[in-house]
Amino acid sequence: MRLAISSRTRATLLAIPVAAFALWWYYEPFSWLGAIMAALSGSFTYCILNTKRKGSFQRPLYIGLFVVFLGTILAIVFVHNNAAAFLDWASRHTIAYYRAGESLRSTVFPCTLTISQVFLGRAASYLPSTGSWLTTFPPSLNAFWLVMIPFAVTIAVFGRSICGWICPFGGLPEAMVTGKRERWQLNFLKKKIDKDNGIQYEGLKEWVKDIKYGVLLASVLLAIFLVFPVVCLFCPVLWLTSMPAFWTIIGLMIVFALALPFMTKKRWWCQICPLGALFAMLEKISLFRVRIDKKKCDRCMDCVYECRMYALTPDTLDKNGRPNEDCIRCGRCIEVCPEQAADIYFINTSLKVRNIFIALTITAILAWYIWFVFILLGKFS
Amino acid sequence: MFEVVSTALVMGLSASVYCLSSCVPVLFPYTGTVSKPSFFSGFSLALLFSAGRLIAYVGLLSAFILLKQFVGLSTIVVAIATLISGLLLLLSALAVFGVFNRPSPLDRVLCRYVVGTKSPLYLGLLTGIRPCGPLLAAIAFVLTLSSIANMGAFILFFWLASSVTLFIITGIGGGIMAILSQRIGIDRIRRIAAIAMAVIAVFLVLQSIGSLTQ
Repeated sequence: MRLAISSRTRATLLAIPVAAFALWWYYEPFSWLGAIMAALSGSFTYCILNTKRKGSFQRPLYIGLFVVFLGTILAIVFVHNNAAAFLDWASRHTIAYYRAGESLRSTVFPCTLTISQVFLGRAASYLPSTGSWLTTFPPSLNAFWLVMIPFAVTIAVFGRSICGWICPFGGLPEAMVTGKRERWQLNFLKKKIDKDNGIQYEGLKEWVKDIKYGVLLASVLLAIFLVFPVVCLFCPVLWLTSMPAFWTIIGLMIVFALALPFMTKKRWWCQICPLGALFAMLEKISLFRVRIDKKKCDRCMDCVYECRMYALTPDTLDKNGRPNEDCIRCGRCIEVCPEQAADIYFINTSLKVRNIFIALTITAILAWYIWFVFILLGKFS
Repeated sequence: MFEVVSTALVMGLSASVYCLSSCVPVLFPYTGTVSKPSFFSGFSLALLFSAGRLIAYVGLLSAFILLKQFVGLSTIVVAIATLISGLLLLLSALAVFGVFNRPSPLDRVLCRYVVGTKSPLYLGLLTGIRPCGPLLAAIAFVLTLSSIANMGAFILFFWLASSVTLFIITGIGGGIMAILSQRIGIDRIRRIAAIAMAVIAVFLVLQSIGSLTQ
């Protein structure tokens, strides 16, 4: 017999552990911060799980993350006069986090982007003067595990939903995809299929989908062999050090994170991101999957039009109802489906786990973004 | 002679790891753009690239001998060589996408002489013109040698030793591309490699602009 649980009870049951985690995570070094974060995250989890339109809560959260990230940039520029002073300050504050006593020194401070450097090749650099390899980041094996295990677990659990919920760079395109009207169809980038009832466009052409993999390959090659942290180009600290790189990133952001999302209502920034490519490659091990129940689906194509990543196409609906590896689990397809045919399932099962997924995602956000809170707090310390 | 050859080998081997930073990023994507990637295709690309480097080394050495002194290369020369390397990579990437398949004389010239299988030779030449520290040290050492035979032997064995890791890495790269092309298709591998090439090209162009504007 299946126990009937109301949505309020379910939301409360999931909000309590999220709030408890926030309290534990943020309690040290600031107990008042732990209490505030627990109250905020608990009530937010309750609200988001107790509504049918989850997107109305998810979007502000996501855009809010970007605003916090932007706040970090302003903190760097206005509070700390230069990148070195900022990193020195950050290193002093990160000691509190590493309770095992592992300071990450002043070379780097842990943030999601810094961690990705390990993947993209800044783990070691060659010193020609001594003829030896020096570990630059992280400075010790213990610190390496402290950073890598949470990152690997996050990838394994969430897959590309990191792009849809956790990555701060997604907040800007997310803010720009407002409105219903697609001003630019960009059909020349889509596959054209000759149907009996006329030409139909579905999904992106293969070469457009491959751009992110090419960028990933280039990033890895440049990072490993030039010992240049290419991913750091996206870090505001380094924007201040190279003007050509700065203007290139600004130009890319204007085109792919502002203009194209605004005109097409799709998330183009995520289509060129090398980290997105990495997550897409590891998609098969992700625990949570979106699936469309073919028995319930009436092929209205609302989910296909709504998908911001071109992950759902008429073809994928016909095949197995599973979006391609670009699915970021934003949940829009679930919300627009009039037949409630779409849902998030646990890997290779028919267990619907959307609520647990959302609670876990909020927990992951809490876990990762402690650094930005500290950085903003530095303004007042 | 034995002393010269052994010194060249030791210096070349120690330089080979360092030189990977300037060679692998520009050469590795080529292993995926060939029609049939394999260990030998990767190896032959590295050979072509290294031949270009050897020509540049001999050119540099000849220039220093003619000048009768060792002079450091100007940052402008290095920046221009980097810029041309970037543009060459960009053209090669565009060629993979079939941009130069039109029946025009310019496209024919580009396809026949600039892009495609010949471009690693030019890239090697340009990489040789923007030498790394160990290479400059080796050239400075060559200038202290007395006979032309010793100089030639040193440069040859230095080049061979410094190319070893490049041969291995591009050979393995070719093998990996062959395996991947069987799994996801050669067209897709070529596309991804060409996009990587274009991104690296943009990086090189930005790097050279940064150097020129400083």
